[in-house]
Amino acid sequence: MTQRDVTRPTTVGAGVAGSWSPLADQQVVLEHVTPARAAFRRFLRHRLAIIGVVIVTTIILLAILAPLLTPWPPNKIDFTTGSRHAPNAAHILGTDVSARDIWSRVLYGGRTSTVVGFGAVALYLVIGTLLGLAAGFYGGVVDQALMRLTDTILAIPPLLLIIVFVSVVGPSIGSVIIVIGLLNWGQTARLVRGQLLVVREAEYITAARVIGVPDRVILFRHTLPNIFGPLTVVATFGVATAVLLESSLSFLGLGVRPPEASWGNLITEATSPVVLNHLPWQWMPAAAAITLMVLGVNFIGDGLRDALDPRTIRRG
Amino acid sequence: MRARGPALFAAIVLIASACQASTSPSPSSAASQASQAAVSPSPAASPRPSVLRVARISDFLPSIHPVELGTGNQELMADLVFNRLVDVDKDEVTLLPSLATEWTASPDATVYTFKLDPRAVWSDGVPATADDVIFTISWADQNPAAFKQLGVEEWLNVKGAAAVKGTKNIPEGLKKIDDHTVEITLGKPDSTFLRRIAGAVYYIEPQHVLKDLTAAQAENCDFCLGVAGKTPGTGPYDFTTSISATGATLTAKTNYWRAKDSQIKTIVYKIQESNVSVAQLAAGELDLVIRVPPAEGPGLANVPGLKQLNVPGVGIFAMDFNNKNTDKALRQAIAYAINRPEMISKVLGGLATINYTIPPGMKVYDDINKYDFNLQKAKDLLKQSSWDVSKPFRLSYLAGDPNFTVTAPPLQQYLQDLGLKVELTALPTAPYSDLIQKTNNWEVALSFGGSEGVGWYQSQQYYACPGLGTLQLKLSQSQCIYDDLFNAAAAVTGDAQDQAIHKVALALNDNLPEIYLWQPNYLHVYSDRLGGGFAIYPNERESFKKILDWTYAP
Amino acid sequence: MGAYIVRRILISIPVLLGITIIGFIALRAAPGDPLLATANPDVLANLAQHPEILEAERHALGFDQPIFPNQYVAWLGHVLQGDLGYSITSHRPISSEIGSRILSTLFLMVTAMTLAVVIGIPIGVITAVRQYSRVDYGLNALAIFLASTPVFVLGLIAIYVFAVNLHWLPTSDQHTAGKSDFPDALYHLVLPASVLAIVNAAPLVRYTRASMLDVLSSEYVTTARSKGLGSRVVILRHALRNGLIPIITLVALLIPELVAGAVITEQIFNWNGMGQLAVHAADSRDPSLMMGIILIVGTAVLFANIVADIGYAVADPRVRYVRPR
Repeated sequence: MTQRDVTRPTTVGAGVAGSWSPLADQQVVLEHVTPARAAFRRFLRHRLAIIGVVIVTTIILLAILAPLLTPWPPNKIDFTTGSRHAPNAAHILGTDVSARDIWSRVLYGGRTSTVVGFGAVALYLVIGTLLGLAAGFYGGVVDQALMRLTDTILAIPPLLLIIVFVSVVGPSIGSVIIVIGLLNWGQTARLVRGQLLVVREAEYITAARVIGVPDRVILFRHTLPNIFGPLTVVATFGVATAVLLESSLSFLGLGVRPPEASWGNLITEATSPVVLNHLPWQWMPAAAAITLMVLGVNFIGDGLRDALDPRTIRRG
Repeated sequence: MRARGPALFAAIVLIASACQASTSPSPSSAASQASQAAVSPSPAASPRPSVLRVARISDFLPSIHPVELGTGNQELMADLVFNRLVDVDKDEVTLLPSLATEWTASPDATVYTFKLDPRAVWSDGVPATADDVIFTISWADQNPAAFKQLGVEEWLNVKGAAAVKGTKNIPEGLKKIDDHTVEITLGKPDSTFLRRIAGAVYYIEPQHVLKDLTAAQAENCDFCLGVAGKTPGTGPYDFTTSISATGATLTAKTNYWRAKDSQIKTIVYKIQESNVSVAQLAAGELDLVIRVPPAEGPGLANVPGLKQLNVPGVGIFAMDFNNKNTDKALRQAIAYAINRPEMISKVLGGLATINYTIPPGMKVYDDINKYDFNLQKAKDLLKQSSWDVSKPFRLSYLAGDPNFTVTAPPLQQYLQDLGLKVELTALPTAPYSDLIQKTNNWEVALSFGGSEGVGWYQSQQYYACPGLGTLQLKLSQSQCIYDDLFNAAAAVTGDAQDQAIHKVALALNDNLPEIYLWQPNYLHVYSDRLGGGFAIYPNERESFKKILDWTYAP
Repeated sequence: MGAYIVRRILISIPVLLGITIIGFIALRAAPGDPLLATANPDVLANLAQHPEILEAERHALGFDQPIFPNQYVAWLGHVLQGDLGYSITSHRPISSEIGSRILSTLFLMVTAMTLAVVIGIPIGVITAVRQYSRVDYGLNALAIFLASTPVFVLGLIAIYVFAVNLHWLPTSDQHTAGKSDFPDALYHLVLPASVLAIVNAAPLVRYTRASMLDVLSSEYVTTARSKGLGSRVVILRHALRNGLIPIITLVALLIPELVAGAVITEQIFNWNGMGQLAVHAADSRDPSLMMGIILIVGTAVLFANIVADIGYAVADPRVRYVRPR
């Protein structure tokens, strides 16, 4: 009944964190549901994951507490100090080309990245889950159509499409979130559909069916909890991808709208050779921030995946 | 062990900052590094004799026909490949012979006679004669709507130009006296005619190549796209690599008809982002870069063999107002609220020249209001204006252009200090033009460029009455006075002209349809091997006019 | 198998049509007049004084027609005859605009991909075989670090170190000014291709490692080992062959990432390819050029998609080509 279409393996966090385990994703079988507590314990033992949690929490806290950590609003011009001033007591990372405080802009840039990262992922989790459920639930033509659409979405180079889209709607945080969200739900949809098909065949479902529980209820009640683990992993790596995409877009001038601060548009400064070669404080903090954020999120993703995948026990 | 990542990053940052301490290498270390890089030909070590590698900012339309001429790069290429009737020297006033060796003007500034150089020939050997001049002007008058970039207003001012539009006729004002003499009669007096036809868009085209050209073909014929071998000109160079989006290669003619060959055999002309050019300058991959961002100057100061020319530009940085949404008191309030000296010294690194709200080609007359920074006066004026301060004041500009992205936030700050609720709107080119030209959803737009600094007459085009877009929004019909004032000034000479210009200046200074803020400096960086008559003109778009006098020591 | 391939291609056609319809409508309906896409005050002044210029141009380009279906059908008709139209900014045929750049981009991408595979897969195998060793931790940490660094940061650091400070390599461009020989082209390729390769090798290392670990822990490898086969034989003959099956597909799956990376790499290194063309077209809203890019990239991606599916099917005999319910 569940003849599989020729489908390429779902890649969890493809392109960013990698660490894809083919068998797990192809079958997405969690025959015996691992107790959440055991998974949590495994996660805590994952040293890199804990480092990741520390990094990401720190960055988010810095972003939230930004107003307390700097006297300078991110768009305030300090005419007294002037532009591109080296770090000093008033501006610990100096000032940028428009005489704004760089430390403040790095902090507020963290807000942008966090909001885009989580916002875009939330959006595509919703889209992907709904489409995946629809494909798995209705099957047949609907399934075919949705899965081909998913293939297409997965195969389209997101950056190129985003460039086209942004040139049409104009750059802003909202359009970046929507665009990333609309183009990245592929993995989620596949994962949900796959899980739905597996659950459908499970014995306890047959049993439930026998006692007359409606299909709809069975599927929704039993699929979503089972899919929660893999989805968390997808979402985590997704945040990393979204943060990277946002910074790339802002770097190209197609991301958030100036004068709003974003790590990507802070690094745009470094395309000026004098900044790149002689004024590293202008761009290195933002570059370090992006890398740390993505690294941290990837560590967490690794930890989650290992914790939720029972085979790691076998492997270890 | 597992926490390698962050440690590694720290290491990279450390290495990077260590490298940063050693700035540009001395000549000797550059040479030794070049010899180490034996894998490949090192660009720094091997000067190619008489090949000039030029780069300029990436404003370019890869065409050469006047209908598509609108960027500085095209104008520079046109200077190498073609001639105009007359040229202008770097003082932007003195006229120099080009195709015409002698010229006369009637006292009423309407009849001009040109005597052409009898030696002049096109690249394919066909003589260049009065017929080519008459063809060029007639074609423009027959197809005025073909000129989508820069207008050819001077050709359209020829007497009878309007009557030949859409026909194949020659306008009444053009007369061939003999093969090498042309007489041009204007429809209205214009004492600036000679100076203005020294601009690149007025180059003379070959009749024998283009005589059957239609307006539609003028966009993409071989000649028009600068195809090598298909674009004969009368200038000292020919295209040897066709024009592309990234530039072209030009080669000097031998036995050039002016009896003097250029010392620079080949010009590799590159069109690219200025950041790319700066990096290549530092690596010794270029000999001349026209218009480097002035802030890059100090970073290039230590590069051996390079000289810098940091000069006030002819372009202007201005705020254009939407006339429908702003009144005079509001505009004056804004003029008082922006601390231009502070902006220039603190944000622009001193690399700009202050302007007193009148076009830079005009004198700063004694009775001009300089609008020195005065926040109190500004606030008083704002109160008098009809502007509702609770409404958002929309400051719009072109996204991605560093001229605007750098200055918009400080300007926003000044306007906020004045008491306006400023919203920044940065858009890519197409939606930006749409906003400015077609909607009323903006109050002020930042604008940069133009060539007003060259002379007072250059500003007239921005105040013409008919039409759409910025002008319509900038000037209401009741203010449609400037065009007439400019025309009045062009019709006369000497003191009378000065008085007429003074009148324009005062009118602009009071009403402020736009606020001219400052003229940003242009930085040109060139190899010390260039010499002789080498110069970059204030209007750098015309710098190759005297390339025959340049010397170059390979 | 043949029928399967045909079916996949037939399914792709409506997808491609859909992409072009959406792209076309979005581009034409968006605010912003491509004919006015200039900020040059002198040009705007000329257009202001002569409004008939734009009217004539609009009519000539058919912009005064309804967008859908009229303009779209006209466009599609031309495309089916092999005519992608003209760029409104360069006045050259779109086919030649794209044609000249596609080679540059392929040159960069194929080199980068080859490098990525040559670097990534062996390192992945080594880390899997020597699991939990210092080598494993070190290389794995390096891979995850590189996968977390945006390609533009990596590119800028590379320029900073190797071109500006060490003077080993050129900062940008495909050729030294005035040169066009092949060694010179290779010299200019080194830095951008390496940066792009490193960014793509990092995930490949991690995929390969995970895939190899799965195979190494599987029962038949254990069986082979228990039969007394040497570990090198086991790894090379059994584990590697099976472990590489999913990687074939992964290489294909990396292509979208590769394209995205190439867009940015081209910007940083002034590489005159499709990425730069796309950014330029997006900024000037050149309608025919944008549609040309969408069409070409869409076709290439769907093609790669099909090849990946087929490759997977060929590599793994367990995959069945039956029509799903």
